[in-house]
Amino acid sequence: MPLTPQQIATLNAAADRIIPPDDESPGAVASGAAARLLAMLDGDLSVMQRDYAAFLTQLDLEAQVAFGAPFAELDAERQDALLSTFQPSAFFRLFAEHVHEHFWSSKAGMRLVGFEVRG
Amino acid sequence: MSEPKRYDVVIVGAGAGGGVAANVLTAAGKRVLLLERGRWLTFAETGRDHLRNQRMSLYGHNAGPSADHPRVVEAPNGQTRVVLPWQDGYQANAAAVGGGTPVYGGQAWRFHPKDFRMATTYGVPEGSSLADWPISYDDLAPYYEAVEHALGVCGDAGAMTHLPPYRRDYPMPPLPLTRPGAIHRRGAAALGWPTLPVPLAINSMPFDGRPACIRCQHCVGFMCPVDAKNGAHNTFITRAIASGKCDLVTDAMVERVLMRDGHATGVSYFDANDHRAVVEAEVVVLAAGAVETARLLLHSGFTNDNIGRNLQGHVYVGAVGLFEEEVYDGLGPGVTTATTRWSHDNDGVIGGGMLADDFIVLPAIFWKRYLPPGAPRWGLAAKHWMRDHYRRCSEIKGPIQDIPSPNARVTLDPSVKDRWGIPVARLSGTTHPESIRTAQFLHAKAVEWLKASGAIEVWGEPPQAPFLSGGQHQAGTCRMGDDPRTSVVDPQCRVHGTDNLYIADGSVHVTNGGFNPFLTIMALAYRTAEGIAQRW
Repeated sequence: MPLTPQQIATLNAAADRIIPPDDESPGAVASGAAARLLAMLDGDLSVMQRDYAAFLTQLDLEAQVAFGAPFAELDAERQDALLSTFQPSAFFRLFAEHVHEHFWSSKAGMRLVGFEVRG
Repeated sequence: MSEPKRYDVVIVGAGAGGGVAANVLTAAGKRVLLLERGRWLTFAETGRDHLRNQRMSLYGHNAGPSADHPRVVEAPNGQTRVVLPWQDGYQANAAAVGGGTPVYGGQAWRFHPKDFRMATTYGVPEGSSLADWPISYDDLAPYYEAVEHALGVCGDAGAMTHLPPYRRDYPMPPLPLTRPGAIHRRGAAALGWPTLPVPLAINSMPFDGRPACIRCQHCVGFMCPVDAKNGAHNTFITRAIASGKCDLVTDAMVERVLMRDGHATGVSYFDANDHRAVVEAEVVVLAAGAVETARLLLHSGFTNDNIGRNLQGHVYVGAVGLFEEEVYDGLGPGVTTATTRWSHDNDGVIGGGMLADDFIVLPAIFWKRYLPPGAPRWGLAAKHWMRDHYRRCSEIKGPIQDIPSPNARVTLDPSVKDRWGIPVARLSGTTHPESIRTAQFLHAKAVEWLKASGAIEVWGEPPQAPFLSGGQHQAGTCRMGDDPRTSVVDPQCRVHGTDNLYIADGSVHVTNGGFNPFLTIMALAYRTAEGIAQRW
């Protein structure tokens, strides 16, 4: 089952808290990292699609319970507060790693640390 | 099936060893068939995917092997799992024309004279298969020299003071020093440790019709965009084919060595269309890598119990130092400076290893492997940690010489087969615990060096428990020796009990040195091929 539009919105919002945008550089969404992760859930990571769907649905459910709105519609502070409660979970750490892998291998990630490609 | 083709020599595997053998044998006038399960690679095709390369293969490899080549990994408790080439425990090396060399870092080390005399030097710890080689450094030195010049190695022979004097210097001077390299040379000098420029199979100046290195940041794990990195693919194999005496067949999966009364008559293989073909030859040379060569021998019915044992690569140690100022200068390939001070003669441990600075570390690899404990893992704090630290860190790392164990082993899996119906390799066992003691010793030296270089913080832990090493440095599974009861090939690298079956890859290494092994694989293959040309 592909992710639903709401799950995709939740993934994008959460990815942008793993690597938030700031004045200096884009975050996970604007760098393309979140889109590449989504594409991989239809490819190399397709075996994890179900786990992702469950995690994202759970995140939204917790958002509704705690703040009465879907995760993607919360402000950054509330999103971070919710994600912090997920921090001990192995799946959250895996998700964060996936976002980081794609951000630090993106042009934006390389530019941020000063890795300039020659040749 | 049509009449089998006939060659003087058929070589299985177009990697470091097979490529050299093809060149030496065609130069001696032999008609050679080179069979390779991979393909020719190009820079355009292999690219620079930071998540799919031999340096970090999270989701696949840019240079093979493909998912058609699974293996089985057996845990110490006997549990098994099927693994794909980019998954944990597979012990992958690239599968392509050139083997691992199109995408390697090219550290072109000769082994130390004592690496050939480990048992005599240190004794044999209980449970280990540590042994002397039946040949010495002096036997191999002329072949090291021949390969350094035929391949193209840059370095400074005068700085290799841990070795007997070279007869000829390297054909190219070392690449210029980097900022981290200069810092580490000062650090080592403060400790009184000698350093030397790391010899590299990379052009520091135009060589053999190809240009000099452009100092890009993507060396190890990737092909060279300007073809300034020298591997088997763009030197030995190119020359073998240009001789008109070598046919290269890619996408060729060899099934069996065909034997009759201790005499190899040829091999059977599956071609690109999965059609089985038989080729006959006067001499058969196996150079498929330590895992696949052992697998092929076992599948061909060889029963010498030593086949597949003593699998070893290198237990690596490394530590990361954080410096006050930026040390990153973006000048590839990055590895410049080594010390061989701790290769041998270390109190209380067996052997030792070489330590050096590292290739430029990709940001994604830095994130996955270089962070200190307690570093923020998400949020702006994590993003800014990377921004503020990436250019201020430098690593010292190196391979220790593994102490081999007979239980570190390649066998045929009793049930899992590949898509050609050949039983896959099952990998089990671990390196000997003495390897871990040596690793812990060398790790402490890496930390000491970083501190002397001015690092204000150092992190990274040594390994704590034995594990199976192999990977790109895989060796040992068909060790060389005089006695068939304790070895697989004789000192000419001919399989015991046969008259014309030879091995020309890292399988024959008795021990694997405390250095990157490809130059030794090439030098030995040169010697073996020369012997074949003289005898046959």
